[in-house]
Amino acid sequence: MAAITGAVLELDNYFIGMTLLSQPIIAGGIAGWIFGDFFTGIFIGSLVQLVWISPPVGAYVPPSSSAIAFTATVLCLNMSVLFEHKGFNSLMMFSLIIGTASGYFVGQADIWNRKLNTLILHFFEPAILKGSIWPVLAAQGLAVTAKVLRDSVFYFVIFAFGTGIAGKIYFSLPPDILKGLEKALWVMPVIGLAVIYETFRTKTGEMLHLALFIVFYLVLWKFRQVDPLFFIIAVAVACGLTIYNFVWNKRSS
Amino acid sequence: MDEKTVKKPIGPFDLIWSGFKLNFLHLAWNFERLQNLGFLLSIDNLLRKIYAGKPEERLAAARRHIGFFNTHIFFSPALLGVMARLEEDLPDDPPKAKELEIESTKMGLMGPLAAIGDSLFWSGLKPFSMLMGVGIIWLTKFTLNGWIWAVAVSLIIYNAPRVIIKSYLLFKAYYRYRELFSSIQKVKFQDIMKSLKVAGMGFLGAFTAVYFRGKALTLVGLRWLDTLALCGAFMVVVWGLRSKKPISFIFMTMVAACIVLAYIT
Repeated sequence: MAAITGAVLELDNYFIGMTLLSQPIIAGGIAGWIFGDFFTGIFIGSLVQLVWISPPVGAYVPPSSSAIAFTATVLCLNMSVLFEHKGFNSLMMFSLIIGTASGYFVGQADIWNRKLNTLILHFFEPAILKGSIWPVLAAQGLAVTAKVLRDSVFYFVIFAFGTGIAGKIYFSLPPDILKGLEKALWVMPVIGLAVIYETFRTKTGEMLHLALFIVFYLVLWKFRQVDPLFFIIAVAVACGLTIYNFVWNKRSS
Repeated sequence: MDEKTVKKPIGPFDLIWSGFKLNFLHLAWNFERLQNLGFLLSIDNLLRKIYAGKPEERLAAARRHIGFFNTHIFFSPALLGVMARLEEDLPDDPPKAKELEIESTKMGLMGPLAAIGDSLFWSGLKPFSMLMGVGIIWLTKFTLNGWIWAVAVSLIIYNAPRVIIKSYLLFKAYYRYRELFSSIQKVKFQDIMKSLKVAGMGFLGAFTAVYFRGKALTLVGLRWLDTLALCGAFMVVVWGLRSKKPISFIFMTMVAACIVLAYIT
């Protein structure tokens, strides 16, 4: 079930609609829900989302961030059940590393699929040029079937056989490496925050970023907790005023 | 002739059906002609209406649209509308002239629309909506309710403009194709992008404070030392990204550095 869910989610990543339903925060949550640990799913999903938030522009085929989140969540939860492991942070990071490799594999496999699609196009082209729409539908159907089948098989192999192997590797690691993995999990969100910082960087934005960071750091230091709705409204107002004054107002004057 | 008063063979529902099929534009994406099969599938029902009773002309049109096609998926309705309109309006004779006109229009439109779409959606709305999603998840401390809100907010921020832009472009491109580019030019994409980026940076600053003050993960247990270490790690990653290092490289380097740190301490 997890393998088929992962494969179907993968379709939204590029092939159908691109509605963002396959994004890591959603894929991780679904994987966590299937395996009964929602927290781990959305925690891993949110980390992956931040790090691999950058866009796929043009014909470049990036690693699949949904595959990273989905594989990491499933492996982490499977391994923790299979080996009754309680120290979770290092296991999460270890799963994220394997998930990253699988995301790159899915990205690479998409390139193979696109090459296969060229062959499919050549095969059906003579029939298409005779004026029927059925060969176009058949070509599309064949392309999507190949993609879903490939991803299902990949996920099935990873989840069915990879869990045991990964678990054995993980439990053979020395304690210092496990401690290092725990620290790496702590640094992961920072990578994501820096990636977004670089994606959105403008002069005005940098000033606003610094100002809001300091203000909210002090507010949280003083009050420890803020109401999420109040928080979002306050930030939105600050952003709105800055945008009005420095982007739109400046231009019109 | 007035564009409004001419009786069209294509109705709004034909356009909507075609526009819906554009969701499958990438299904058979190939390295030779990219989105050609998806585009041909989308425009097929329109071609059948335009060339009803003219099988030879319809075949010629199908041949035209099985050629190279590549644009941004959410801006493709503009091309669909313009292509349908040109197929309809241009005289079938001489066929070479019609083909040349359609082909050159298609080639001229694909690039600019792809560039606008890439910067607006892939570099603007997508990261912004996902940042909001992650931020809400952090703020609500990874609860189910928070997750539902995060998913709803991020999907609405991204998909509402997607649906509006797609629908607007589809109808505008077909019914008022001569005004399409002047209408697109009137939209201040540069300012919209800048606004998105500034808002993104604002939310990022606030969410960074939430993460830095959070208790989920710690390095040494001392808050101020953890904050300093996080600031240092943040600057190192930003430096890495500015030096054009791939994210996977930075990720693996950080993991390796943390393992070395664990051995040292």
